[in-house]
Amino acid sequence: MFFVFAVAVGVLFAAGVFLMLRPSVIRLVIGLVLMSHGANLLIFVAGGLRRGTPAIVADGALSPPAGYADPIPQALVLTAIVIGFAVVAFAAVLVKRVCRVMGTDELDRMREEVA
Amino acid sequence: MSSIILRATARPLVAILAIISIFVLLRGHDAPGGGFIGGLLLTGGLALHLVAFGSRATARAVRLEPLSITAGGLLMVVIAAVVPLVQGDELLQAQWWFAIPHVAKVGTVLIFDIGVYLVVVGTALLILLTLAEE
Amino acid sequence: MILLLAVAAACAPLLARRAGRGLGWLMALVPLGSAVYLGIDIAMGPHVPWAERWTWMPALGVDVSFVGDGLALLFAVLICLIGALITLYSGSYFAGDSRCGRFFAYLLAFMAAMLGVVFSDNLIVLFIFWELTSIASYALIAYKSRAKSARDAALTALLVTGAGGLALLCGFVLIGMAAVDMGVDPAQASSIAALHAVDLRSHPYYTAIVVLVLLGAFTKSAQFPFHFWLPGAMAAPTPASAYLHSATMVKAGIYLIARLQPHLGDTDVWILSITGAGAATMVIGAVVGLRQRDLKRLLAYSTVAVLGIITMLIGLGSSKAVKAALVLLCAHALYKAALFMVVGNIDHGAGTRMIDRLGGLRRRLPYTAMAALVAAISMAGLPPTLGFIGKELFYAAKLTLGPFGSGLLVVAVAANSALVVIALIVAFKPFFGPATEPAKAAHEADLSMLIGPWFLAGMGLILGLWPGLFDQILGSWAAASIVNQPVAMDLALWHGLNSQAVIVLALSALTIIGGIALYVAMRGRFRTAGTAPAPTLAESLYNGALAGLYRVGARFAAAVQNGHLTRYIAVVLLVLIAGVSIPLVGALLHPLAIEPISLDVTDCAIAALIAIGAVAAALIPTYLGAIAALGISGLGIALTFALYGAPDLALTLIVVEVLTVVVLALVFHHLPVHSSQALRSSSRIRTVRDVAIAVACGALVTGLTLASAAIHLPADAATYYSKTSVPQGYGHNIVNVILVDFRALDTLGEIVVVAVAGLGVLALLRLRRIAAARPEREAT
Repeated sequence: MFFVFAVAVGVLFAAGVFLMLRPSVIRLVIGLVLMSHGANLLIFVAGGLRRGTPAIVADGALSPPAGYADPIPQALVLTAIVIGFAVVAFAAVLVKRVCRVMGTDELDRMREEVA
Repeated sequence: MSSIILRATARPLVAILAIISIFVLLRGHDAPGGGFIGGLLLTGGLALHLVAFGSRATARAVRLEPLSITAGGLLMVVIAAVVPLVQGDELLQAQWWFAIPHVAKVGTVLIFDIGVYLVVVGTALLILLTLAEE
Repeated sequence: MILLLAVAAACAPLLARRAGRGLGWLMALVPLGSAVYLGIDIAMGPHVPWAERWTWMPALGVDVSFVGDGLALLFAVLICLIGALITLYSGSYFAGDSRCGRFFAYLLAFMAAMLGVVFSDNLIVLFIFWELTSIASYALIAYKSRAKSARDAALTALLVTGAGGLALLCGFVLIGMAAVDMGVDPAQASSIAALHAVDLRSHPYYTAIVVLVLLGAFTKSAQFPFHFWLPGAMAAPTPASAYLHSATMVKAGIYLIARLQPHLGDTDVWILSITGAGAATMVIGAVVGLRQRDLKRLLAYSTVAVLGIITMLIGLGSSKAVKAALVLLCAHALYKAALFMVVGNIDHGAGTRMIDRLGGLRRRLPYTAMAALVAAISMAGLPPTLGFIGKELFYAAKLTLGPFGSGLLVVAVAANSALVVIALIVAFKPFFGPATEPAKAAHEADLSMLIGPWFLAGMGLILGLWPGLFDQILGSWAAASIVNQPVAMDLALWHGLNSQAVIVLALSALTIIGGIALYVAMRGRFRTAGTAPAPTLAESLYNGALAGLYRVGARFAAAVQNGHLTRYIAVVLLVLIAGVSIPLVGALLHPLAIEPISLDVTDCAIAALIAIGAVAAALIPTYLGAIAALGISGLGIALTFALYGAPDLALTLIVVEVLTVVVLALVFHHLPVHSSQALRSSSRIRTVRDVAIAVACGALVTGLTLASAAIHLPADAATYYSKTSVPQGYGHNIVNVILVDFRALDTLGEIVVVAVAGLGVLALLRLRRIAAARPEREAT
């Protein structure tokens, strides 16, 4: 099970990198989203996969049932997701602004325009 | 701009999502949920409202400036951080006051979580409204 | 005292605005007070070193410790005394310059650093002060920051002395290591005093230590082949040149050699390299100096020559040579600072420093001329001055060396003759003879610009007439701290008529006659237009190396940073791939690392969903299609979270996915360019390259993920949180308890990031619109 998710993480990163290397800044933002997905999944997977038992203590018990999922990577990823959303929103707006001002979404053409 | 069906269903959906979001926020300490999820759920509902009725209507429905919501959230978080200092404990050390059975335990932790909720709602709403106004 | 000077340095720019002309007098009080304090201390007390110590970095054995022995105090007195006079002088020199507060700040800061160098008992602390003097020197040389030549000269000085400083640091570290090897307590290893306990000369590092330390000392003291920065440093304002580049800073290297002489000296490597460099420097300074037209550069080269002589003498290490070195050092500091100030007065009064344009100034600047003459007598080594005594001792020390010494002696006489010529050029040529055009309009400098040269020139004379003064006050004590045993100075102008004294006297006479003859022979050549001196080999090497470095840097930057963002990203990724993949392959080859591959239908389906979504997002040409594909991929990840015990994450991610799609759709919907052009227009080669990089990155990350399975971190933290969540956090959802209670401070930081991102969006869109509101409305 570990292996397939490792491959999935790899594909997410590969697609993200490919998009980041495109000349279009809009693609770059989409690549950013894929990369942050990949990073979240990587942290989660690396923390160990245990199916089905959330880290929640039942009423009356003092500790979670045996074989519970590691709560620390979850806490990390949870905030990472929200921050990732805020950053992507910011990047998207930035890109939009740039496209408006420059009249193109291609980085190389922007350079010519400035020069 | 949007379909009648969407408009008709949006209003009750938004109300339901708002209630769920508060429920998720309050129970977050013991079951899946919490400030982040609750805040996002409410924003999701507001996004629906925005798609259905437009940004002006959403802004009017919310009444408050999104930025003030964010600021209020940050303020609550800071209060939750500082209150323990006043009581002679470490920064951010949890203080519990009383519990409302089946709803929530009241203390600085709850204030903190509500702060998180407000920051998420305020910021996400700010982004959505600003973009939609363009 | 160092602290006091540093504070004064910090205050200088503030005071500059208020005090105006009086600033020089005011600022001079600080070093003057220090000098008086030191003087009283020395005159009253028995000659016992004092020491002070504050703990600084106990873990590294570095304490801020200061020791004041004879050598340190001799330097300190020179620094404070000349410093006070120079500060006073600068007050008038810079009259009317609104930025002169900065100059005083640098000057006093330099003074503080220089005192730090001479008093430090700890090698690391000494190094820090050493570098501070280099930095202060840089600031002073570049004071006329509008002139490119000044900036270049400052940079050269900084690079040369800075490189030497690095070598010095390496040398100090080696000293520390060697000392620890030989049984010194590691907590004491960087203390100079502790080195007395061991004999570093027998350690295998010894040669390396000597080379590195001497590199530092030679660069600082402008010894051959590093002498070229000093004449360039004459771009500094004259007071700075007088102080740093003749009297004090360039002596720091000599101080260092003298300071370490008891610990490192007395071996063949040490003596040969120091005397060799010293002798070469002496010759070069003298020869090149004679070709100069600019008075300041002339003095600079004569400084180089004298520094060579002093270095050579210290390196010899016999008590006679050390004695000569110390006397020459003091004499030089006194007359050279005085002469520089004289040149400053000439420059100030007549507006030029070129010797072929100067003459007949004695009527216009009578007082300056007087100081110049007295100082020049000392420089030329004529009786009855300290310079004369120094030169006599120098010859006498050479005479005791046998045939090797006689060879040096011939060279030394020639070099000293050159110094006589230079003294004549500086003190005679501008003041006598027919008055030239600039001289007619010249005016005398005011009092505060005369006190300095008078006082220093007078000191040279007084100490020459009563040499016992120097001896009693500090000379013997300082010499004793170098040779490590009591030294009797026995300074005198007249040594009677034994054979050695006669020879020495004869040599002196020869020097002076030779010098005057040379001057007369050269006089005709002053009229010819001076050509810029050809750069020496070391200088051209330095210039070449610097230019080469710039070229390589420029080419590298052009190749790597060509302004295309994608190129930057590609470079970063390639470096990452190269750096990480090598250890990673090693980790994966480890047999334990590979988990048996077990395939589960649900897992495969979810993973396939993620992968397909990602690939589709990368390839679909329309933006909305790509965004939708993004959503599919996110959904797959949310399913993974749900399946593997993370309901919080699953819920959050689904909502975030929805919001992301809404935001991206809103952003890209109205874009002016609905192009899929970008994807097609890129060339085929480029696409292949990008795919290759992307696949490599993906493989790398997959490998990393797999390798992470092999790492079994202790689960202490997870166990702790799960055990304490209910009893201490009163929460059953451990993830939430971590977020809002155990690690609440982290969460606080994170939501601030979120809020800032929101503010960024607002700033980008709304504020700009407010600014551009009017024209936009008109347009619509």
